[in-house]
Amino acid sequence: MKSRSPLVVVFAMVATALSAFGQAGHVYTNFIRQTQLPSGVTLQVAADTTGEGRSQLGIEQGGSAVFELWTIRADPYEEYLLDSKYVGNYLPVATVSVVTEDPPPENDLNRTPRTRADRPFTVNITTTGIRAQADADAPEASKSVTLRRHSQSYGEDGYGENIDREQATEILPQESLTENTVHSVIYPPGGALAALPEFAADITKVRGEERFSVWSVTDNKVPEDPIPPTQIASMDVQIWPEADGTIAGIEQDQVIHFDMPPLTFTLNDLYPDSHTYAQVYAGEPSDGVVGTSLVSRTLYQTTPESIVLFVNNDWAYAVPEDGRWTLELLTETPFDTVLLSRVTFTVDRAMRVNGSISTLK
Amino acid sequence: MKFGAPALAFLLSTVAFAQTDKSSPAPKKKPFRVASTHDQLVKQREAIATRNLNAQLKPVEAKEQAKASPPSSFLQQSDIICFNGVATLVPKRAILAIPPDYKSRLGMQPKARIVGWNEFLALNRGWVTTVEVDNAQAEGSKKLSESLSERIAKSTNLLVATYMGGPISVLPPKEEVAPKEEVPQDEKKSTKP
Repeated sequence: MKSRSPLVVVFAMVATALSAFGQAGHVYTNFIRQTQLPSGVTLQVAADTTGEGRSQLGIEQGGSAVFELWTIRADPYEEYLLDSKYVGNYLPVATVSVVTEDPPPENDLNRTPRTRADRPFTVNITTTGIRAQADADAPEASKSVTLRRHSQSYGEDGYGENIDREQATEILPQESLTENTVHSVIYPPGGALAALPEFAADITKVRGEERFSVWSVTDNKVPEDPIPPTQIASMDVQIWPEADGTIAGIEQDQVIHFDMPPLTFTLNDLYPDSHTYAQVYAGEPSDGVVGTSLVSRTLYQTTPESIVLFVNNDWAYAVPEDGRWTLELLTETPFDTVLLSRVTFTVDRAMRVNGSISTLK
Repeated sequence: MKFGAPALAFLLSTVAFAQTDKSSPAPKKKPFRVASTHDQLVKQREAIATRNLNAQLKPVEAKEQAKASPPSSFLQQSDIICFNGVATLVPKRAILAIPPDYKSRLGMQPKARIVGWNEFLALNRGWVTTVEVDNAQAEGSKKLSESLSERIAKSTNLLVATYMGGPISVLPPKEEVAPKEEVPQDEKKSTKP
């Protein structure tokens, strides 16, 4: 007779699915599924936005189970796997976290980790419950786990919605973890995504996601019912492109005598939650100067955006005196303040008359 | 063979993916940078090559590499019940009986609102009924009772199997395996690829 372990899984969930992709107005419904292995029986439990509960279905002695937290958006119809855990009486336990220079705010800790194409990031994998290799009594499935890395581009101007994540590419080789510790790995700017052919010409525009997942090894404890490798834990990181911007309407070293020219600022791939502005200040270029703002735009969203800003010819107030002036296009991000474009010009409003004055009697 | 005491409590959490250091001082002034070019970024990548902060990773041999694909689709693993603008999802094989009159209520309808199982059941008790099964029945290890089987066959309502109130898949009964006859040695086939 099969014995049933009183193993219960206490699960606590904070599911703010709206934060994952940040599109306001959509309604999401959460589901938790417990799939028993090796039988394949699937139990669905209620899933509120936050909560804690015990799994009703115990895990069979020598067996295991996969818990998945899904959220479903009704219109348009879309599914998102928020988290999954693979547990068993003797299986190792793992957690994966991604640390970037753009950490989530206190009120949105569930936000998918994100970074920019030019910034490195760190992945920490914590493993516990791994049995010693020399332990002859321990099942092989308890002695190691496998680290896998999948990369997937969002395509040009994509945000990751409606992508088929089963098409993700496993660029980096699988690696075995055999120690109970925190395994930390630093990934260079662009991660493994930058190795995809579509970014070969310009890796500043890397745009996509990377998934770091820990898998069990094949579990042959019950030889007639082997359990194939199953995901234990995973975490994604979104990599957004660097912004670029241009100034049109004024040329380098242009001399302005009368009206100020209208300006057009074309901005691509502004980073989520960034503040972008055009400013002007007196003198030659100098990094970090605070000038007079001509126009600005702040993004309050979790995806990048491309915009065009205009300034009419009424910005003479910002250049009150003749002389040398610098016009800059900048964007403030969670990482830094980035200079996108810069033009230096001269204002010369003094009227000069070429000629002489004489009297006629 | 002994196993560890089944007192392993496991926390399933979706919180705190990014590490935060609560003891950190006030935010530093952000650096000023010029937007990187492709060539500059290539050099940065060369300078910051992927490196392990501790040498705990070992390559997995090709024959041992996990070949399972990433998690499959929730939608593909589910049956959808939809009526009057409200829909829910249950695991496949959880629906035990579908009277002909209700077949049209399987599948998503445009603009339908998705709700959890409990809410959907409360709204549709007039034509949806649950049948509580135990784990052995769900696994197919124990046959459904005759009375239950008859109830399923004659049901005029849509029947959904539940376990402790949650929809659960019910696998086909496991066939009883007859004792194997001893096969002469020279007739045995190799099981190796």
